[in-house]
Amino acid sequence: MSLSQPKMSVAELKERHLAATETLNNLKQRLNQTRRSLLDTDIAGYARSQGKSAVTFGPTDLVCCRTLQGHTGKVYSLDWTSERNRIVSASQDGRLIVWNALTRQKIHAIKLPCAWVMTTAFSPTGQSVACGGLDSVCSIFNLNSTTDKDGNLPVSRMLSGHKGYISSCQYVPDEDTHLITGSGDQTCVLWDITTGLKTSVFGGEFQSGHTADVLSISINGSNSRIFASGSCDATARLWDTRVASRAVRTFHGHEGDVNSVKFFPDGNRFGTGSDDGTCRLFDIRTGHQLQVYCQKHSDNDIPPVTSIAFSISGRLLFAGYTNGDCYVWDTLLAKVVLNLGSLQDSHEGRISCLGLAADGSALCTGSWDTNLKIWAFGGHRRVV
Amino acid sequence: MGSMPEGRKCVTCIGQAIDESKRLKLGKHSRVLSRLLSPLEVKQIMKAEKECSANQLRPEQLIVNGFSLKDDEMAELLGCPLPPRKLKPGRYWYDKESGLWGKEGEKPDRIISSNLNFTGKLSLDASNGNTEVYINGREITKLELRVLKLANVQCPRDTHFWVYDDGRYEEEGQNNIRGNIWEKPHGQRDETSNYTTVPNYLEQKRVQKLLLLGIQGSGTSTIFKQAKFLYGNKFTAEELQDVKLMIQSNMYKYLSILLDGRERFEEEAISRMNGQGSPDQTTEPGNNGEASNTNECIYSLNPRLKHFSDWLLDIIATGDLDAFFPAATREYAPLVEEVWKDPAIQETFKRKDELHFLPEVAEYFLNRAVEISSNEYEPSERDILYAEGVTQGNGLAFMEFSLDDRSQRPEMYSENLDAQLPPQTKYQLIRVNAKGMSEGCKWVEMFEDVRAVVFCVSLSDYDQLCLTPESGGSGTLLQNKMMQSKELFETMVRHPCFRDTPFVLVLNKYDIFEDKIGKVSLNASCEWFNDFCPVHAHQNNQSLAHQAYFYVAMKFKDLYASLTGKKLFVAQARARDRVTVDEAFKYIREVLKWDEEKDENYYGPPEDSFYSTDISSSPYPRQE
Repeated sequence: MSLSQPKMSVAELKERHLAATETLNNLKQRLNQTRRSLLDTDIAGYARSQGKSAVTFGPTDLVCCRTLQGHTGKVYSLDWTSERNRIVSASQDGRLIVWNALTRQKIHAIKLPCAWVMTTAFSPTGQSVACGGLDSVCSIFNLNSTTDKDGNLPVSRMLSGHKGYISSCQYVPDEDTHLITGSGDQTCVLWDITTGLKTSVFGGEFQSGHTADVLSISINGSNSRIFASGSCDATARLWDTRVASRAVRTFHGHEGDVNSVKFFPDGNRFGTGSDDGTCRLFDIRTGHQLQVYCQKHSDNDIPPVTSIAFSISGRLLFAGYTNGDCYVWDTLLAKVVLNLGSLQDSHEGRISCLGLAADGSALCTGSWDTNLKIWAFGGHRRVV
Repeated sequence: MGSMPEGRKCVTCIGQAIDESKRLKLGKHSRVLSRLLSPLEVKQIMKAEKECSANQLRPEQLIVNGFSLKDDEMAELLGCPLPPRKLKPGRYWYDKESGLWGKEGEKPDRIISSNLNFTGKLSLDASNGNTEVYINGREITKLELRVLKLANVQCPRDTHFWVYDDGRYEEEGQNNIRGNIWEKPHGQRDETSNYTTVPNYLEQKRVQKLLLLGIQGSGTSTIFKQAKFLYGNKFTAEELQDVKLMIQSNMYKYLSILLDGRERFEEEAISRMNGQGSPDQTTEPGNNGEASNTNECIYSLNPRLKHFSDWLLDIIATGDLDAFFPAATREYAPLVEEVWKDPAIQETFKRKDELHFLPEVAEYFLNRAVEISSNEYEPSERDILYAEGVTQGNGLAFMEFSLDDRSQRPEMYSENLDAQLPPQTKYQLIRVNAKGMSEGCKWVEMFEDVRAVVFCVSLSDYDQLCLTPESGGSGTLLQNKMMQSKELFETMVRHPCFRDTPFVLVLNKYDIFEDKIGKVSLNASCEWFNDFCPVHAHQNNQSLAHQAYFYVAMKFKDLYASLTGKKLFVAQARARDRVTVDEAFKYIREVLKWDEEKDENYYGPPEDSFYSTDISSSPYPRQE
């Protein structure tokens, strides 16, 4: 604060703050209105006008081919490796289990120092797993290290510094040494694992970041300097890791907590799933909301979306809901083409997480019924 | 009593069975009764009420294997060597060969005597199993299958087992005994769970989780630390180091609050002193203004210290405090002391009630700034308790401990091994950071398996204000802390995952409350308490504090009852006084016992009376 500026009384400052907030809210409203008027149509409208028809799914096109049993508590999070078909899952029973997705074998069962884990991720090389939760610390385990005398894998690094719980984490693609975490303290942090220190903090008390808990993050597969975050403030924000001070763009539209964000395979768009029961697709270049994916329910009670994933071409959007449904949306036509929750062998509880294998041939879903299920494309479809 | 042979029944109803919906009230005396009669008479009446034959479980209320029991079947059931205890009316299945007993449609939940004869026969789908594995002709459930697998029993699809009452099993059609699923105890009577090889099947939950919640400043971290001192392991060197760093960096935080407050007060004081001049008249401290303006007041800091103050406030503004402290603590320690002792700061501190972020402990630590900042500093027990928070990151903290399980009242237990909880029950105390709890409480669902929620409220908060984020997201507003507690309490009670969880309210900081209540009126300070009308017997603060305490407890109890229809358990504490914390935990243990017993409050052979002389079982909160 320079000494040459006129000083204002505290009361005046408060008044100006209130006025500024009011102006801001008005501008936001006008912005939204302008955006909406600029959008002539959404994706589905356009696709229909071009004569596209929805993907058809027969009963054998996507089936549950494996059920991974072993957790004794709700499964909260899962992640695939980039190759070799292994999955790591985190559960309320305080354990991480690394599975071989093909044989259903449990390769590792890691007992966590803090049982309240919310997220887990595999490193790009598949050598380490990271996890975080209510302890506000992101713990890294090296899967090749020797177990201690109790048979437990030791923590190889603890990334501490968050002031709230860790809701989501992801390694930066092709870099075993960096990962990004999203936290209940409203910030996202890029960490350097070798030193255990924060490289950058996105958001926070005095910077323009999220104004509520961050629930999910997703790194752009085509440009790993860009990542998106979804939060309880009903917005999703786009960040550039080189510019930590403010978000590149904020995406409004949802009417409830944004539980999940995932980048579209081509890296120019990303999808979100929210408590308001809808999934939305946003374009990062124009900032527009391209499509809303919402299924009308007879009793008007739309269950919240807990997690989403795109198929490898992006034609399909998988969305897990709190009532155990898992809809497969045709992203172009915004139609539900399949509900995994209605198939045989489906989960008996809420779907809490889902992820697509690196080669796109299988989808894994994790649920509060303590199981994970692997769904594979069968018949003539190998991959969509 | 001759005039009340069956308890509180009216004359025309004597001999008739009671209304099942009133079952829970049986054996629990009403307030009217306890006022009319002496405790001994009341006790006798309640005993008669519980034990008279008309009020017992009737055979037609029990449906076993699809048929209601006849009188002689029921007598056989209750009179056998291993009877099912605490039976409620309902539908059950029974396996005569093995003695397995369970609710219809569910897995077995106990083993009773075998070879009892009932009209109904065990059916294939008695447990609604779908595993294609059969025990004595009943398809077993997924959980039973898992348990068998854990016991290393081979059970591929379509296996039929015979299981005998001593635990031996063999596959149908084969004549060889394969092994034992469970062991029969030698000589000893009873123990319904006598599975030895198979874990977690019929055993009760061993670790009872307790969730400690409360807004910032309510005392949750102090209670947690007291519990650690009372029942837990000693603080490790690492934990002590962690606490030390936390104390050091907190000290800078307190200082910055004071410095910020000082600036504010200085500004206000100077602008007042310069009369009603327009606010944007430039007044620059340090510069020579016009002769009629003054630039100094009691809040002005000397320039050298001001430099440090500006620097510190800048760091806090950018949120970088962690980058400098506690690392630079030793370097700045002498400066901290100087600033603290500076008259300007002391003047600011006198108005600490206006500094909303400054906690009460700030003075305690700032007075010893140099000592705390030295490398050799080792926090004393008192320091640990006074420090804010449990761990530096202030994430979740948990610890396991067991309380001595010997009950204070020997008449609650009789000779046979009826102990509800086996000795050495382990508890796990979980303390979660209060910050940001009202928003997006998604992670609360992770605690749906806790046995009880211990909600802490600081009594002395009734006149304290605190900044909270406005729900519109556009700023912050000043809110009464007691109201904040009330809101959080309501949110938690309403949350679906705590629907069946008992709540224990701990009203903390009674000592500060007692001191304050005479000077700061309860009903004027907090809108929720505006109907507080104490009896004016103001000889001392104590009686007023007592009344106020009961009033606050009743407000919370009424709120809880209006939301859940259940009873709220209340305990009083002065968390810094270890004895009160110990008492609070013992009370929590009793609450857990009552909660378990409440479920099993049905009939079997006449039981020990539940009637307890502890005031807590009546609607009034516990007295000191």
